[in-house]
Amino acid sequence: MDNPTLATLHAVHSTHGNFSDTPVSSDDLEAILAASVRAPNAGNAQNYAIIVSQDPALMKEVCGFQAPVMLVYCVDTQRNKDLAQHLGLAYGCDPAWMLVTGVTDTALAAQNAVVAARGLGIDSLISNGVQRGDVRRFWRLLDLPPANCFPVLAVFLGYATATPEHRKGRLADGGVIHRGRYQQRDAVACERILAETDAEAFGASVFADWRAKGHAHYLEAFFKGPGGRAATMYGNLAPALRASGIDIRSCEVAHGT
Amino acid sequence: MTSDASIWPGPLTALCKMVRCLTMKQPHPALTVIHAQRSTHGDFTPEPLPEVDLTTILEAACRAPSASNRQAWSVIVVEDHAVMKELLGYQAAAALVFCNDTTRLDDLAQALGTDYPLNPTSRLTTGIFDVGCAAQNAALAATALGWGTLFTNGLHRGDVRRAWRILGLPERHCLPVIALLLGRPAHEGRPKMRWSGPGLVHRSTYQRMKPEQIQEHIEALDRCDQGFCADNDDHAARGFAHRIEAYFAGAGRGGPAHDLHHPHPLDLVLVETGFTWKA
Repeated sequence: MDNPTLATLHAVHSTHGNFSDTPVSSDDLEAILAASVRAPNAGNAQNYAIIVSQDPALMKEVCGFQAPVMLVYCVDTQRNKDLAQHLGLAYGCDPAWMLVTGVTDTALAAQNAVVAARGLGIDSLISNGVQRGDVRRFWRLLDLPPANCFPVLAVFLGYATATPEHRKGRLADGGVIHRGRYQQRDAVACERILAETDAEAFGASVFADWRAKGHAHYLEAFFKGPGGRAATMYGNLAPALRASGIDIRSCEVAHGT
Repeated sequence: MTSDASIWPGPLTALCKMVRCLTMKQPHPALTVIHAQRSTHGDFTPEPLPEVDLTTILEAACRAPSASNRQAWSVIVVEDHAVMKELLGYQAAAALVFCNDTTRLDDLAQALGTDYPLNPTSRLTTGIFDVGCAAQNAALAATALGWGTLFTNGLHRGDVRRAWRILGLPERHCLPVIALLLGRPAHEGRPKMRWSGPGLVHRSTYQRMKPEQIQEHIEALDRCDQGFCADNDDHAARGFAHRIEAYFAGAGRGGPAHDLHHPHPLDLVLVETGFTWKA
């Protein structure tokens, strides 16, 4: 690919825990942070916070594995609320808006971080593991404000001990790209996507052994494995969001209130 | 002396520049593009976006990381100007509407005789990460190719449901999150400043800002000469002492404080489209 930026975008891949002990230089870390905060965001209000940690013990407790650097991205309207209060004003954020727009802003910033890291030759992993298990641990471990701030994802940075053999496959046209209007899928379209995702590279690092385990399709292994567990593994997230100010009607409806 | 001296500065400066060029670490082109990205606020020329560039931009979007490589998103490519105007209020060469979308996975699970019973909170938040990473990749690719970009969440204002009617979105488990407009900017511009100081980047643990840091932050946001403000910023003319004061007083995009009796239209749409959860 001639354009070096496009090449970098295509070269980003996830390092699943196999980071070496080689540290990330402080110059590189600062360059990655500077790139991350450059990301576009709603109203240039930057309603997010980045917690930078280089503490291996903390990382272990947060996510179960270690890397030289962890960046925890939080949706955070507390900073702007503090500014407003200082001026004798209020910053009223609708929670539904805060959730959707805030998470979008953090994702754009995190993607800038992993692209910048790749450009600097640094490996990375974007993880939503911060949403699993005892979510409230972050408030204790990272001293997050009790309300108006919640962690949404973590970026790990370092140097991988090995590069993956395959570049993972991705769906494009006929899968995620729709021209003009959304095209609903019929049985034929589903079969075509299932065949596409059965290709060698697609699920390589997720479960390389789905065929050996007797599954007809890669996605069958996915739905019966981690895909199926996704119903229960995020059970603590909603109470944590509610405690931090995300108290919206879509919560109430499930309660029948 | 004077004539001798006048011979030297030019070549000396050139030599110094060359030495500096050779010894200074040049930023990686990807970093240069990240720092060059800026929002083009509606002033796109009528120049169309060639199919080859659109394809390159979409390929970059599809390459983005996603949770379990499941790509819980879809993008609707809109090139019809009337549709763009009705949906987003802007005109550009193309608009990419990125949706949090698990209906493809629902359909595939059903085709396999199983289901995909996601936790509703995770359906919303993790899907939006997937969307955000893909959308930002598209914007960086477009910037790298020299095109102007504008992200807008205008889809969440006004009649939020119009996106379903206009784009034929699935009724459940598909939520338009953000739109990316692409085109040739009519005017030159510079990227807006971003805050990266206390209160935003925290070392080790979260630190609430001290009063003097708050004051410093507020004053930094007033430095229009450094690009924190939009070019049409008029906070002083409107009687506000600080730019952020004007933002809080009205433009604060969060809208009015939360009221469960008058929920945000987006909240109601989350209910109607199956993004509900037990708290």
